[in-house]
Amino acid sequence: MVTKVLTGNYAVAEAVRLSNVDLITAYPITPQTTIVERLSEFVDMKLIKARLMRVESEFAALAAAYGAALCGARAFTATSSHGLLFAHEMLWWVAGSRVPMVLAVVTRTVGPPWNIWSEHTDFMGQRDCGWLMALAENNQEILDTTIQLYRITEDEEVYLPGMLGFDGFLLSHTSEPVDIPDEDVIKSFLKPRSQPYNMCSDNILTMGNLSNAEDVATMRYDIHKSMENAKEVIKEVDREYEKLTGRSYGGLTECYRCDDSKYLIVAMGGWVGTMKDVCDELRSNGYDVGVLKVRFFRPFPEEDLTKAMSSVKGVLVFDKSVSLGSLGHIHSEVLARTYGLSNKVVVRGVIAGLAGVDVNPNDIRGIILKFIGDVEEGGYIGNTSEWFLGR
Amino acid sequence: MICYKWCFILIGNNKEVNVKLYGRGGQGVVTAANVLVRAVCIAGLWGQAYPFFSAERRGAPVTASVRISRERVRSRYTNVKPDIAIIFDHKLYEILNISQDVRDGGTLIINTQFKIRTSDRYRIFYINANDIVRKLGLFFTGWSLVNMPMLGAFSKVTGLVNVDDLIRSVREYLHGDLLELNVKAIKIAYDEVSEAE
Repeated sequence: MVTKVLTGNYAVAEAVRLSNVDLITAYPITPQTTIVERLSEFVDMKLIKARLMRVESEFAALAAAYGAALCGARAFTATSSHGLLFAHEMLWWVAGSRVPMVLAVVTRTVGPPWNIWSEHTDFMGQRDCGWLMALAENNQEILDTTIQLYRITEDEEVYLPGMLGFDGFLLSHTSEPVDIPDEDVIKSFLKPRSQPYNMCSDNILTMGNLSNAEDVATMRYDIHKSMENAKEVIKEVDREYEKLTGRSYGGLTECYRCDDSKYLIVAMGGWVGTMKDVCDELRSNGYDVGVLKVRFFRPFPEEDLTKAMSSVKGVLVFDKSVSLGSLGHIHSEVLARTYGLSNKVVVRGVIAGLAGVDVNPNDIRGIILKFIGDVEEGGYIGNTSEWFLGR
Repeated sequence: MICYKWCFILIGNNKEVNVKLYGRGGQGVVTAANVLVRAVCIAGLWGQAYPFFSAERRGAPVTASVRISRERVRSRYTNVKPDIAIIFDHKLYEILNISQDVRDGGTLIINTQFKIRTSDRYRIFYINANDIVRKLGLFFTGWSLVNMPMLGAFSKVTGLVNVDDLIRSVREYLHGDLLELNVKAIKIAYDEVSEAE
């Protein structure tokens, strides 16, 4: 193991180097670009055997990776924001074909107006495509989760593609120490490439033909079942990875001081670190606050959430994305899991950090204390959203 | 190493020290922030560098911030009043309204050929880094590379990172003649940085 100071983007590149990838497709977009730039340097220096293919668009980047993956290659590409939206249709093709591959999504606001900073709407917009979706909190988790995703997506219980999201700039261009595992360790952790079928084999196969309705519906149901199976695989992979590297992320969620908490903060991504610091401070001032970090958004960690909510008074959900005309994406998922709880839980959603609006510990502390005050007063019944638009 | 108050702050109860580097596109602001993080890690501390990006281009103001802490830094937000400002070009002091940015009681380290007056609000140090790199011929595509000597001055002034750890870090980022010239520049700046009177 060696420790290096890496940006989030370089952490992804190191993970791809270690994961014995065969094909990388590259099309630039801020803030993703330095991932494929660094990978291009690795190819040039012969540090990886992968072929790097420059393509004409993000749609083509995913299409080419898809094609290679169909023929047995371990494939990687990365994109952000408008690029991800342009590739949206291809996401369905990859998942619908049950082809494992990994995509890095460096989250960025979708225009107009033009904006390069992070929010999670581009990522959340892909939630119905049948991809596994994880969002990382720090650069170490970016490296570790990228490697884990190759193992998870190629598990025969899963056989679905996976995307790793992380905040643009807040992580992608922020440098911090990252432990890089030894090649041998990852080689033993990642098995040889495995997938349900190979389009380039001698067996004649077709993909994407017109099918009858029942067959398609059944295939959709199969994807859903595999998503359910993935929950156990994700936890198992996390445990095995911990044995090799000493690092565990709790599987689908990470419970930070939430075991005995009365108030639960739920969030995803880079700002969870800030929330953990605020949580420590509030705890030392006598507030029973805990943080539940949602690591995987698909499959959604229903069981973890239900368990964490079963002994609390209030849940405060922070979303860095919103379904305009409805709620924040995590908020609506959380609300759906409050039905059937034996305890009465008050839930509030907070939509904050949109378009890269800075959210600091004072902002988070203020929002939490106001929520606790409202619930303790007893008048607040919850299920509403608040918007934090900046100071 | 002279341990001024910032070094004592980390030894004491304070959680982290915030450093902000102000320069121009092409002066190596982002590289300097990364080198500084690596140097504090060599010293057994934790560092996190977060540059501010918008529409960067050569010559335009660029900033990058560094958190230095004894423990792992988990927090991620950008609106921080720095304790220490490293200013690569003294003209930026007014252009970027740095006096409004830095925390009262903070420290400024300014690259300038002028003598600077002291202030009640800050401790101010100055170094003529342009002159150091000119004498060494430390240029890249016409730009004088003042980023490493500014870190040399930072090392001396704050005591947050010792100059040997700084040079070890630089060796991981630069190579050949460029490396050796930068090491010389760091040592000269370390010796020459002075406090405003």
